[in-house]
Amino acid sequence: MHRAYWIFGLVVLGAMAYADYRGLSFTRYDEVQNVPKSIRNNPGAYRGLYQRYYFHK
Amino acid sequence: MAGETSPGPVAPASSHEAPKVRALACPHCGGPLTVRGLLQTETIACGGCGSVLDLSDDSLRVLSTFRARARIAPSIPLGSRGKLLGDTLEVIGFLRRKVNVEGIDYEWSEYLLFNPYKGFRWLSEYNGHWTFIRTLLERPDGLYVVSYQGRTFKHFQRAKAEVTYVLGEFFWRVKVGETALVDDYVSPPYLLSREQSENEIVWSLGQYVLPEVVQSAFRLEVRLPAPIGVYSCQPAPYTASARLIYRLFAGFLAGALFLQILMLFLAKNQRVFRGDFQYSPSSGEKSFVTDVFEVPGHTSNVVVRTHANLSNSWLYLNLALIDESSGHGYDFGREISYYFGRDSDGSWSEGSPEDEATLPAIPAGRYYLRVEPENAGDPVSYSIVVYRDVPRWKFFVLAALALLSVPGYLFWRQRYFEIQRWAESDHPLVTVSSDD
Repeated sequence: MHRAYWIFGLVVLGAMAYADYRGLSFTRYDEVQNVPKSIRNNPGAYRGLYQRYYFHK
Repeated sequence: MAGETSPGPVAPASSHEAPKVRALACPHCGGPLTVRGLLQTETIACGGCGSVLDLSDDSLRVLSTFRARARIAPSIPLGSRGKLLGDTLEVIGFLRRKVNVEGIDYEWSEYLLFNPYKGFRWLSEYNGHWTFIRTLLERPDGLYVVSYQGRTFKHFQRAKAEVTYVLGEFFWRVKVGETALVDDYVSPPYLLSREQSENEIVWSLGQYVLPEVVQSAFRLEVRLPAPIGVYSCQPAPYTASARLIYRLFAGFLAGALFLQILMLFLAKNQRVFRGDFQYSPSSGEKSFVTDVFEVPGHTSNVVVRTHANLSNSWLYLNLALIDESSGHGYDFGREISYYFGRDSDGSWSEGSPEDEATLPAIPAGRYYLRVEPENAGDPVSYSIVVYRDVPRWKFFVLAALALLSVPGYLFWRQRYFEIQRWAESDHPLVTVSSDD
């Protein structure tokens, strides 16, 4: 049993280090692809873009 | 153990006078009797008629008789020989005893074992649990706690034990119905027993033995029954493993703490953007974009903190963090609400004027925020501050909980085991109140 716990503990520490280093979190957000640079001049146009290109994370 | 102090071993006489196993006939019923005790036993109980006979008398005078409810066949037949805990022993006697606790009879078996050089030993069996017992010459001292051979024994139970059945040979004048006041003390896997009869006080030391060990020692053909419940001196399972697991847990927790502190030192926790804004619903297009700002370093989190001057109101922000060069956007919404007042119980508040959102694993690059606010219609001022590579404690807490799962489970199992052990004693760990 202690060998299995050794492995389990190392995996947990490794996962913790990875999560901390990558800055993982549980916040839900959507990813939008290919936002054109013109959005900076016309922010309202983003609404149509969001509805077409989003996918949930 | 039942009866008087067992006599010490007697070295066999020279070969032409050596006592031998004798075959006799019961004078009461004529049933066969085999005497194996080599002149060291005083009585023999006949399995056929329940007569207890005097072995010191040539005519086998009947000392007492009893009428058993049913003839009991011992699990280890009389005459069986085996090597147990280093000693070769022969089963020469068998008896049943009982205690009455709160109106319920609890019965167990005792086997008298004999070795001509080592003397007498006992094997006790209760609900499939076996204990190998030897009588002590010493008299340990103590009332609720007894120290013996560097171990501390805790008082387990006091009860009056009564002999209910006898078969085979014994080194004292055993009688069905004889009683002794017994105090048991435990330090698993050991059991100290103090027996007080009319004539004397006898101490004995028992050691828990697995049924498989007894089975193989005496080469029994019939499988011994599996143990039921937890016995007083039964060693707790996983004790040695549990200690090692607890030490490993402490080591891993220290390792996790070290990693967390290391991350705290290495994290940049850098502010990369701050903006103060005013929102008034009467204006036309609500959404706007911020200036472009640099998000440096390795792929890590981005924390967006917002603060709004709210007074019994709410503000909803549709936010998108957009990479200026790749056009990749991270879209999220945050609601900030803050209400407060006074009532008969005093002042109260609900919500908070501040909010924080963490976006995970954001690659380095040049970003801007697209912001689209909404609220009930009141003008409100708010600020947005963006930080990069902010250290967090939540994964340390999650790791600690995950690491605790195994030792926590073991601790619970051990605790439950001890509760079961002591439930049968005079000192239960958990008492259940009766509704009667």
